[in-house]
Amino acid sequence: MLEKTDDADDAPRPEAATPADRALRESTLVVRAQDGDVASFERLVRSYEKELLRLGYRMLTDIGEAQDAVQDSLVLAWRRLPTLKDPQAFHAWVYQLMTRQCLNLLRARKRRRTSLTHEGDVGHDPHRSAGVEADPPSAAAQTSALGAGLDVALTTLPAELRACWVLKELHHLSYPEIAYAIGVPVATVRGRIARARLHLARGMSEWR
Amino acid sequence: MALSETGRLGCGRDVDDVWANINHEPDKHEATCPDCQAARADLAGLASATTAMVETDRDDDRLVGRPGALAAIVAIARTEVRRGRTLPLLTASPDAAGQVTISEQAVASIVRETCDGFDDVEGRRCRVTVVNEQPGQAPASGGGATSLAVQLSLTVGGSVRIPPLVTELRDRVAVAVERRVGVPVASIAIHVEDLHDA
Repeated sequence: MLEKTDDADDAPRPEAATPADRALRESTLVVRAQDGDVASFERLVRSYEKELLRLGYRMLTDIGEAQDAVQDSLVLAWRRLPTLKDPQAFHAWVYQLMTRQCLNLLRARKRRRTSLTHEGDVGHDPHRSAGVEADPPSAAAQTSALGAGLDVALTTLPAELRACWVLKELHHLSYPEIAYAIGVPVATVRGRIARARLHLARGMSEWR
Repeated sequence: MALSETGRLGCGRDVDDVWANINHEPDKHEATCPDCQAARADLAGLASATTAMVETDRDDDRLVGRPGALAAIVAIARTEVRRGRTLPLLTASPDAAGQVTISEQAVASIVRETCDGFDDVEGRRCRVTVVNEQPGQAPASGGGATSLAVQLSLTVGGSVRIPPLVTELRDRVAVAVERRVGVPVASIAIHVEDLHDA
């Protein structure tokens, strides 16, 4: 083996791959995007678009509304990026933007439903709220009774509980990350997830 | 149902712990505790349906961004981009049609691209300022740069030796910026803000 005699030989070699294709740490992309680098922001958007859409679908049960919410959240992310102090916190932060967007939409739906109900137009049906028809579950979910049971039980869970449960079990956020995303103490998140599990387990027992 | 609103079982165990172990064999306590066994039975269906839901949603081809959404988001970002300062590049001569300027962001891109050519080195924040040869004096009419000063922060892999890296990086950044922008780089201040695992 050759001995290295010159320090300059230890300098990392420029890579053969196109730099634009290079995998970069998420925090680096975040810092670059904060610095005004749109290409880095685009890479962040690509890596989060689908994830956030899955969250939106489980929160809103409407794919079109979820797509709108993702778009609004990511534009908001670009605008608010300079205010994010810790680039490592981007993951929880972008989930926070999307979760809040969904919760706001659900509150607006509820208000619409309440005003319509007062006029006697719409009955109380958790699957149909103020003109929003839930998209049917995927074919795969319908093939299993348990899957269908969870699908339905989840739609009947109050929004705040559903948000906590979805972030924990479908997106694997930690308790502190969920607390940050929703803006409540960790103890509240724990309590909500315990209640969500109870509600879901009970709901699903009817499908066995 | 053994589960309760409090999240705590009759035996004192937290349901979180039972849930965390639900896809594994019961541990020593769970194997003999009736509360834990009942809770496991209550949660078994939810656990398997949850795992299935994660996979189903991931494979659901309806759950993709609306066509053009990504382009629309990026287009908005591009319109509103923070380009940093505008740097005057060439001193306009009396007969020149006008001044040539470049955004700080454009120079920063060249600097970061150069960093990306190094294995296990990531360029992060980059500031670029104009240096005039006689500090303290107002720039000549047109105010063009005689050279640029670059400040750059990096994160480097734990195995990277920083002194030879810095030497090589400075050389390459100076060459790349001068070649593309046409103005020499007077100084490159490098701040290694983080060491990451390779």
